[in-house]
Amino acid sequence: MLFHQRDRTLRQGVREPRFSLKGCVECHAGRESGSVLGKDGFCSSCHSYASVKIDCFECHSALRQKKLAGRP
Amino acid sequence: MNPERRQMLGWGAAAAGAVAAAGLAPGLSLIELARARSPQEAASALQRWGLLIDISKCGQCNDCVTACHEENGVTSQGRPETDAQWIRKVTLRDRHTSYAQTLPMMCQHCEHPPCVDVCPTGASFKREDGIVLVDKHTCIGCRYCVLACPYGARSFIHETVSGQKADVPRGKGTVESCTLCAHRVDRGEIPACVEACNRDGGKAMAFGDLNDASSEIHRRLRAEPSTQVRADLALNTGVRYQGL
Repeated sequence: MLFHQRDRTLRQGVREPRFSLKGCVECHAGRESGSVLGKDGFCSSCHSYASVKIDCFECHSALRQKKLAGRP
Repeated sequence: MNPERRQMLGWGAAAAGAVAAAGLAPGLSLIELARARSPQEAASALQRWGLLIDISKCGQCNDCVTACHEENGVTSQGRPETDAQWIRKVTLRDRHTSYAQTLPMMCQHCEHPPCVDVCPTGASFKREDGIVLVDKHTCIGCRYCVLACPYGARSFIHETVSGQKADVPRGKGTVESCTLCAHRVDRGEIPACVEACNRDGGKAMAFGDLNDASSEIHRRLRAEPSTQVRADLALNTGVRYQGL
Protein backbone atom coordinates (compact mmCIF):
# COMPACT_ATOMS: atom_id res chain seq x y z
CA MET A 1 0.00 0.00 0.00
CA LEU A 2 2.88 2.32 0.78
CA PHE A 3 4.21 1.71 -2.72
CA HIS A 4 0.92 2.69 -4.31
CA GLN A 5 0.55 5.79 -2.17
CA ARG A 6 4.14 6.81 -2.76
CA ASP A 7 3.52 6.94 -6.51
CA ARG A 8 0.33 8.93 -6.01
CA THR A 9 2.21 11.44 -3.86
CA LEU A 10 5.17 11.81 -6.16
CA ARG A 11 3.48 11.61 -9.54
CA GLN A 12 0.11 13.20 -8.81
CA GLY A 13 1.03 15.48 -5.93
CA VAL A 14 -1.53 13.93 -3.54
CA ARG A 15 -0.16 14.66 -0.09
CA GLU A 16 -2.58 13.01 2.30
CA PRO A 17 -1.41 13.11 5.91
CA ARG A 18 -2.67 9.50 6.33
CA PHE A 19 -0.09 8.15 3.88
CA SER A 20 2.76 10.49 4.65
CA LEU A 21 6.10 8.83 5.36
CA LYS A 22 6.99 11.97 7.29
CA GLY A 23 3.89 11.30 9.37
CA CYS A 24 5.01 7.69 10.09
CA VAL A 25 8.37 8.95 11.32
CA GLU A 26 6.80 11.67 13.49
CA CYS A 27 5.14 9.06 15.73
CA HIS A 28 7.40 6.04 15.38
CA ALA A 29 10.77 7.70 15.84
CA GLY A 30 12.49 6.68 19.06
CA ARG A 31 12.02 8.85 22.10
CA GLU A 32 15.75 9.14 22.76
CA SER A 33 17.22 9.00 19.27
CA GLY A 34 14.40 10.84 17.45
CA SER A 35 14.95 8.38 14.61
CA VAL A 36 13.32 5.23 13.21
CA LEU A 37 16.78 3.78 12.61
CA GLY A 38 19.33 2.42 15.07
CA LYS A 39 19.34 -0.77 17.14
CA ASP A 40 15.85 -0.31 18.60
CA GLY A 41 14.57 1.87 15.80
CA PHE A 42 10.97 1.16 14.77
CA CYS A 43 11.86 0.35 11.16
CA SER A 44 15.39 -0.92 11.34
CA SER A 45 14.92 -3.36 14.22
CA CYS A 46 12.50 -5.50 12.17
CA HIS A 47 14.22 -4.93 8.84
CA SER A 48 17.57 -6.11 10.13
CA TYR A 49 15.97 -9.09 11.96
CA ALA A 50 14.17 -10.20 8.80
CA SER A 51 17.09 -9.18 6.60
CA VAL A 52 14.85 -6.96 4.49
CA LYS A 53 16.83 -5.06 1.95
CA ILE A 54 14.52 -2.17 1.20
CA ASP A 55 15.69 0.95 2.91
CA CYS A 56 13.57 4.07 2.65
CA PHE A 57 15.97 6.02 4.78
CA GLU A 58 19.00 6.01 2.53
CA CYS A 59 17.20 8.89 0.84
CA HIS A 60 14.33 9.90 3.13
CA SER A 61 14.98 11.60 6.42
CA ALA A 62 14.65 9.19 9.36
CA LEU A 63 14.41 11.95 11.94
CA ARG A 64 11.40 13.37 13.70
CA GLN A 65 10.87 16.98 12.67
CA LYS A 66 8.82 18.28 15.58
CA LYS A 67 10.17 18.56 19.09
CA LEU A 68 8.61 16.19 21.63
CA ALA A 69 6.50 17.93 24.25
CA GLY A 70 8.43 18.65 27.42
CA ARG A 71 11.81 18.33 25.73
CA PRO A 72 14.23 21.06 24.77
CA MET B 1 -31.51 4.52 -45.38
CA ASN B 2 -34.74 3.02 -44.02
CA PRO B 3 -37.13 5.14 -41.94
CA GLU B 4 -36.39 3.33 -38.64
CA ARG B 5 -32.70 3.95 -38.98
CA ARG B 6 -33.29 7.62 -39.77
CA GLN B 7 -35.50 7.87 -36.70
CA MET B 8 -32.78 6.33 -34.53
CA LEU B 9 -30.21 8.87 -35.75
CA GLY B 10 -32.64 11.66 -34.95
CA TRP B 11 -33.08 10.39 -31.40
CA GLY B 12 -29.29 10.12 -31.06
CA ALA B 13 -28.83 13.77 -32.10
CA ALA B 14 -31.54 14.86 -29.64
CA ALA B 15 -29.84 12.93 -26.82
CA ALA B 16 -26.44 14.50 -27.62
CA GLY B 17 -28.06 17.95 -27.53
CA ALA B 18 -29.63 17.19 -24.14
CA VAL B 19 -26.24 16.12 -22.73
CA ALA B 20 -24.63 19.35 -23.96
CA ALA B 21 -27.43 21.40 -22.37
CA ALA B 22 -27.03 19.49 -19.09
CA GLY B 23 -23.45 20.77 -19.00
CA LEU B 24 -24.85 24.16 -18.11
CA ALA B 25 -26.99 22.86 -15.26
CA PRO B 26 -26.22 24.03 -11.71
CA GLY B 27 -23.03 22.53 -10.31
CA LEU B 28 -21.65 21.82 -13.77
CA SER B 29 -19.72 24.19 -15.96
CA LEU B 30 -18.13 23.99 -19.36
CA ILE B 31 -14.84 25.48 -18.20
CA GLU B 32 -13.49 24.53 -14.81
CA LEU B 33 -11.73 27.39 -13.07
CA ALA B 34 -8.26 26.98 -11.62
CA ARG B 35 -8.20 27.20 -7.84
CA ALA B 36 -6.00 26.23 -4.91
CA ARG B 37 -6.25 22.51 -4.26
CA SER B 38 -6.40 20.57 -1.03
CA PRO B 39 -3.66 18.06 -0.10
CA GLN B 40 -6.03 15.21 -0.96
CA GLU B 41 -6.47 16.43 -4.52
CA ALA B 42 -4.19 15.45 -7.38
CA ALA B 43 -2.26 18.08 -9.33
CA SER B 44 -4.39 19.14 -12.24
CA ALA B 45 -3.66 20.06 -15.83
CA LEU B 46 -5.81 23.16 -15.33
CA GLN B 47 -2.73 24.72 -13.80
CA ARG B 48 0.70 25.19 -15.25
CA TRP B 49 3.26 26.50 -12.83
CA GLY B 50 5.95 28.76 -14.20
CA LEU B 51 8.44 31.49 -13.48
CA LEU B 52 9.08 34.86 -15.04
CA ILE B 53 12.56 36.23 -14.46
CA ASP B 54 13.36 39.85 -15.23
CA ILE B 55 17.09 39.89 -15.92
CA SER B 56 17.34 43.68 -15.79
CA LYS B 57 16.59 43.41 -12.05
CA CYS B 58 18.90 40.43 -11.48
CA GLY B 59 22.03 41.69 -9.80
CA GLN B 60 25.24 40.12 -8.61
CA CYS B 61 23.79 38.38 -5.55
CA ASN B 62 23.51 34.64 -5.16
CA ASP B 63 20.46 34.61 -2.89
CA CYS B 64 18.29 32.36 -5.10
CA VAL B 65 21.01 29.71 -5.26
CA THR B 66 21.67 29.84 -1.51
CA ALA B 67 17.96 29.71 -0.66
CA CYS B 68 17.35 26.78 -3.04
CA HIS B 69 20.17 24.70 -1.69
CA GLU B 70 19.20 25.52 1.88
CA GLU B 71 15.52 24.59 1.30
CA ASN B 72 16.32 21.35 -0.49
CA GLY B 73 19.29 20.30 1.63
CA VAL B 74 21.68 20.37 -1.31
CA THR B 75 25.11 20.50 0.27
CA SER B 76 28.55 20.66 -1.26
CA GLN B 77 30.95 17.74 -0.86
CA GLY B 78 33.81 20.14 -1.50
CA ARG B 79 34.21 18.89 -5.07
CA PRO B 80 32.59 21.47 -7.35
CA GLU B 81 32.91 19.26 -10.47
CA THR B 82 30.55 16.63 -9.05
CA ASP B 83 28.46 18.63 -6.58
CA ALA B 84 24.73 18.72 -7.23
CA GLN B 85 23.49 21.97 -8.69
CA TRP B 86 19.77 22.67 -8.79
CA ILE B 87 20.09 26.31 -9.79
CA ARG B 88 23.11 28.34 -10.87
CA LYS B 89 23.94 31.89 -11.84
CA VAL B 90 25.05 32.29 -15.45
CA THR B 91 26.87 35.35 -16.76
CA LEU B 92 26.37 36.30 -20.41
CA ARG B 93 28.90 38.65 -21.95
CA ASP B 94 28.58 40.31 -25.33
CA ARG B 95 31.80 39.49 -27.17
CA HIS B 96 31.91 42.85 -28.94
CA THR B 97 30.73 45.31 -26.33
CA SER B 98 31.63 43.36 -23.15
CA TYR B 99 28.15 44.10 -21.81
CA ALA B 100 27.51 41.48 -19.12
CA GLN B 101 24.20 40.15 -17.83
CA THR B 102 23.62 37.59 -15.11
CA LEU B 103 20.67 35.26 -14.76
CA PRO B 104 19.58 32.25 -12.72
CA MET B 105 19.39 29.02 -14.74
CA MET B 106 17.58 25.91 -13.58
CA CYS B 107 15.17 23.26 -14.88
CA GLN B 108 12.91 25.11 -17.32
CA HIS B 109 9.95 22.77 -16.71
CA CYS B 110 9.28 22.26 -20.42
CA GLU B 111 5.91 21.27 -21.79
CA HIS B 112 7.74 18.75 -24.02
CA PRO B 113 10.71 17.79 -21.86
CA PRO B 114 13.55 15.96 -23.65
CA CYS B 115 14.59 14.38 -20.32
CA VAL B 116 11.22 12.57 -20.20
CA ASP B 117 11.55 11.42 -23.82
CA VAL B 118 14.91 9.74 -23.27
CA CYS B 119 14.31 8.18 -19.84
CA PRO B 120 14.39 4.38 -20.27
CA THR B 121 12.51 3.62 -17.04
CA GLY B 122 9.90 6.35 -16.95
CA ALA B 123 11.52 7.86 -13.87
CA SER B 124 11.75 11.29 -15.43
CA PHE B 125 8.21 12.58 -15.74
CA LYS B 126 6.07 15.67 -15.99
CA ARG B 127 3.37 16.21 -13.41
CA GLU B 128 -0.09 17.26 -14.60
CA ASP B 129 0.57 20.82 -13.45
CA GLY B 130 3.72 21.11 -15.58
CA ILE B 131 6.39 20.43 -12.96
CA VAL B 132 9.11 18.12 -14.31
CA LEU B 133 10.43 15.70 -11.67
CA VAL B 134 12.53 12.56 -11.24
CA ASP B 135 10.97 9.53 -9.56
CA LYS B 136 14.06 8.39 -7.70
CA HIS B 137 12.38 5.09 -6.84
CA THR B 138 12.65 4.09 -10.50
CA CYS B 139 15.71 6.10 -11.56
CA ILE B 140 18.60 3.78 -12.39
CA GLY B 141 21.15 6.56 -12.72
CA CYS B 142 21.82 6.10 -16.43
CA ARG B 143 22.17 9.88 -16.91
CA TYR B 144 20.56 9.97 -20.36
CA CYS B 145 18.47 12.89 -19.12
CA VAL B 146 21.58 14.78 -18.01
CA LEU B 147 22.80 14.62 -21.61
CA ALA B 148 19.40 15.31 -23.17
CA CYS B 149 18.62 18.46 -21.17
CA PRO B 150 19.63 21.50 -23.27
CA TYR B 151 19.82 23.62 -20.12
CA GLY B 152 22.29 21.46 -18.18
CA ALA B 153 19.79 21.44 -15.36
CA ARG B 154 20.24 17.91 -14.08
CA SER B 155 22.84 16.60 -11.64
CA PHE B 156 23.86 13.06 -10.82
CA ILE B 157 24.48 12.23 -7.18
CA HIS B 158 27.84 10.52 -6.96
CA GLU B 159 28.19 10.18 -3.22
CA THR B 160 26.18 9.01 -0.26
CA VAL B 161 23.98 11.81 1.01
CA SER B 162 23.22 12.45 4.64
CA GLY B 163 21.18 15.03 6.48
CA GLN B 164 18.36 15.19 3.92
CA LYS B 165 15.42 17.47 4.51
CA ALA B 166 12.20 15.67 5.42
CA ASP B 167 10.40 17.05 2.36
CA VAL B 168 13.24 16.45 -0.08
CA PRO B 169 14.56 12.88 -0.20
CA ARG B 170 17.90 12.62 -1.98
CA GLY B 171 20.19 9.66 -2.53
CA LYS B 172 23.26 8.33 -4.24
CA GLY B 173 22.98 6.90 -7.74
CA THR B 174 20.02 8.97 -8.90
CA VAL B 175 19.62 12.11 -10.97
CA GLU B 176 17.95 15.21 -9.60
CA SER B 177 17.14 18.77 -10.53
CA CYS B 178 14.98 21.73 -9.59
CA THR B 179 11.53 20.53 -8.47
CA LEU B 180 10.06 24.04 -8.59
CA CYS B 181 9.80 23.37 -4.84
CA ALA B 182 6.86 21.01 -5.52
CA HIS B 183 6.54 20.32 -1.78
CA ARG B 184 6.06 24.04 -1.12
CA VAL B 185 3.81 24.59 -4.13
CA ASP B 186 1.56 21.74 -2.92
CA ARG B 187 1.24 23.60 0.40
CA GLY B 188 0.27 26.77 -1.46
CA GLU B 189 3.63 28.48 -1.01
CA ILE B 190 6.03 29.87 -3.59
CA PRO B 191 9.44 28.35 -4.44
CA ALA B 192 12.34 29.20 -2.13
CA CYS B 193 14.35 31.00 -4.86
CA VAL B 194 11.46 33.35 -5.64
CA GLU B 195 10.86 34.04 -1.97
CA ALA B 196 14.55 34.85 -1.41
CA CYS B 197 14.78 37.03 -4.52
CA ASN B 198 11.76 39.06 -3.48
CA ARG B 199 12.99 39.37 0.11
CA ASP B 200 16.74 39.97 -0.22
CA GLY B 201 17.50 40.17 -3.93
CA GLY B 202 16.45 42.36 -6.82
CA LYS B 203 12.79 41.21 -6.97
CA ALA B 204 13.55 39.75 -10.38
CA MET B 205 11.59 36.50 -10.06
CA ALA B 206 7.85 35.94 -10.18
CA PHE B 207 6.06 32.63 -9.70
CA GLY B 208 2.53 31.78 -10.77
CA ASP B 209 0.05 29.81 -12.79
CA LEU B 210 0.58 30.44 -16.50
CA ASN B 211 -2.98 29.24 -17.23
CA ASP B 212 -4.73 31.49 -14.72
CA ALA B 213 -5.81 34.62 -16.58
CA SER B 214 -6.10 36.57 -13.32
CA SER B 215 -2.54 35.82 -12.15
CA GLU B 216 0.20 38.44 -12.18
CA ILE B 217 2.53 36.25 -14.24
CA HIS B 218 -0.16 35.63 -16.89
CA ARG B 219 -0.91 39.35 -17.12
CA ARG B 220 2.77 40.27 -17.48
CA LEU B 221 3.46 37.59 -20.08
CA ARG B 222 0.50 38.85 -22.10
CA ALA B 223 1.45 42.52 -21.86
CA GLU B 224 5.26 42.50 -21.89
CA PRO B 225 7.87 40.88 -24.13
CA SER B 226 9.53 37.74 -22.80
CA THR B 227 11.75 35.01 -24.18
CA GLN B 228 12.35 31.31 -23.73
CA VAL B 229 15.94 30.13 -23.64
CA ARG B 230 16.52 27.99 -26.74
CA ALA B 231 13.07 28.79 -28.09
CA ASP B 232 14.22 27.15 -31.35
CA LEU B 233 13.77 23.75 -29.70
CA ALA B 234 10.02 24.44 -29.28
CA LEU B 235 9.94 22.90 -25.81
CA ASN B 236 7.53 25.56 -24.49
CA THR B 237 9.37 26.19 -21.25
CA GLY B 238 7.59 27.09 -18.04
CA VAL B 239 10.42 29.45 -17.08
CA ARG B 240 10.47 32.65 -19.12
CA TYR B 241 13.00 35.47 -19.15
CA GLN B 242 12.67 39.20 -19.73
CA GLY B 243 15.47 41.49 -20.88
CA LEU B 244 17.55 38.69 -22.37
